[in-house]
Amino acid sequence: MGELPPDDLRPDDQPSPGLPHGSPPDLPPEELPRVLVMEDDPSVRSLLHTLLDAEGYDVVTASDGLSGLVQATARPPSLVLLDIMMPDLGGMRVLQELRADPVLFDVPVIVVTGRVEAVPQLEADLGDEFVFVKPFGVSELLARVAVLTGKGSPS
Amino acid sequence: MVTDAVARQPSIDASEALLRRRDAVLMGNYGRPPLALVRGSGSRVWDANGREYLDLVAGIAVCLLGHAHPAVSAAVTRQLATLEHVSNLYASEPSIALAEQLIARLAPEQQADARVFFCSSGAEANETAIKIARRTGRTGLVAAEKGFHGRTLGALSITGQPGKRAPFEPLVPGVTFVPYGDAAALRGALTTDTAALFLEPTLGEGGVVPPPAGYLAAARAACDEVGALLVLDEVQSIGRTGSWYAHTREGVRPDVVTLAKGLGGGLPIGACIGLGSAAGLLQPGDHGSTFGGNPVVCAAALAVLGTIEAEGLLESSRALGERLARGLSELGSPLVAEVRGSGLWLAIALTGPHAPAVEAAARRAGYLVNTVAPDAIRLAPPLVLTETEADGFVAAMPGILTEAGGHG
Repeated sequence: MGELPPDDLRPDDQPSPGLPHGSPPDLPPEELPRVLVMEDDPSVRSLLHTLLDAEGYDVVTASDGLSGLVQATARPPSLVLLDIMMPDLGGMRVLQELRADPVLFDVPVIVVTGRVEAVPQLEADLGDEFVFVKPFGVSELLARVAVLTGKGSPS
Repeated sequence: MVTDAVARQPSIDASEALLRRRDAVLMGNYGRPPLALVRGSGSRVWDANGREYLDLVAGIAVCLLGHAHPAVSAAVTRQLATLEHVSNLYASEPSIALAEQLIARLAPEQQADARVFFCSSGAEANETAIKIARRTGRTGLVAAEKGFHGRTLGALSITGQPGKRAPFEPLVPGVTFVPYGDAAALRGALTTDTAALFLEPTLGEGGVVPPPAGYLAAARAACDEVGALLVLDEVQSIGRTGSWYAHTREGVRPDVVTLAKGLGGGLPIGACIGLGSAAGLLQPGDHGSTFGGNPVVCAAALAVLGTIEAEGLLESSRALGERLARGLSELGSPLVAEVRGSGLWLAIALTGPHAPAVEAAARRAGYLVNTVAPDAIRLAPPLVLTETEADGFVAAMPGILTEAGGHG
């Protein structure tokens, strides 16, 4: 610890003096597909954030529908991962709001739901490939996100 | 790797070569392993000779998501490139998030005043619990015969296996051992000098032995009668029994819960959760752990919790454990006395001390299992074990048992 120069503690946004480590790893977010994760379960939200970030997406998260809509409006995402069962503003209402929005109406939305009885209607409205039932295979979900954001090819 | 090994035709194989290097530099406390492993994927591992095994040991009940799981890998890689270690002189988000999530998995009425201490192993988590117990002002401890809580001196002091304790005595004084599963013996041993009762919800190293129904509830009541803490050692059970904590399935409220093994998905972690008044007994300066709450390790644990939650692995592993136990029981082998345990934390109890022979025969057949007692084989596979893999093991067991019977 003692051998490090004090200026090694600089914030990430300041230039490095050429040390072989410590360069900011982030690419400019505007070049990355932006995925908005709306999920109230913190462990699943954190997992999706980690995995999508590792796959090279610009990830933003929301723990409820209202703050998710605020984020979507502030900066339109390339894709929304939407949990149906959320506090305050549920996923079905979020879906309606997104579809009615003049900017966000055509943003792809993958819904993730534990409500099995809602699945047939969701699949009819959105298409099978946009509906995941909890519990879901995380790798399958990532593969679908990749296809819909143009980062991967359909399997 | 197999091709290379065959092409060069070495005088000793690659696994043996690694073991000889090991013998020259590592202490002899573990005995000589039968294999050197070099790679894993899911529930499978490969030895240095390229031979594949189905891993039903999982690093001694550790790798809940198996080997090289992409979620753990991504979480660790991402955190390592962001912030790898800060000590406890500073706060870091992964340990806070992990503590929040461990508390959120307790019974709702226990969450408000629960607090978490992070460390690097189960033994260290139990050492923490012993120090919490000492902070009650009492010094007596009660623990179970055949129980296991770790190898460090404090944890060893409450480990009910005399052979492990004897070479290192004198240990922490004031420990009374009672037969596991005997509620009357518990009530007799607990006094107003007892600081804490340490119990596993199922004996782990003692042979995966569940207690009689109602035992943990009786332990709770006995502790309440004398004002002692109930410490539940869930080091091995975390995530393995079909619920996050074994005690929630039993409906029992502990004062302290210790965790480790599976929580980190293969990275070294321990946690001690204090509930209610026990959460506040340690004072500033009382305890610490350099690597406790390490951001990389906590990021791995968060990936483990998130993946188990998203993929419904608690439920599926419980069903798979029942399928595995049923399949093994129905073999009707004269060497098998019973299959016990729950979820993917099982023991095949044998009719005699055949476990080493069964373990060796299983290994020759491509299955890694663990001799937890001379007459018991432990199965603690990853939760991502598939039905096909489990069925394959059951189908191979008659041949394994026949071979072991011949050699046993």
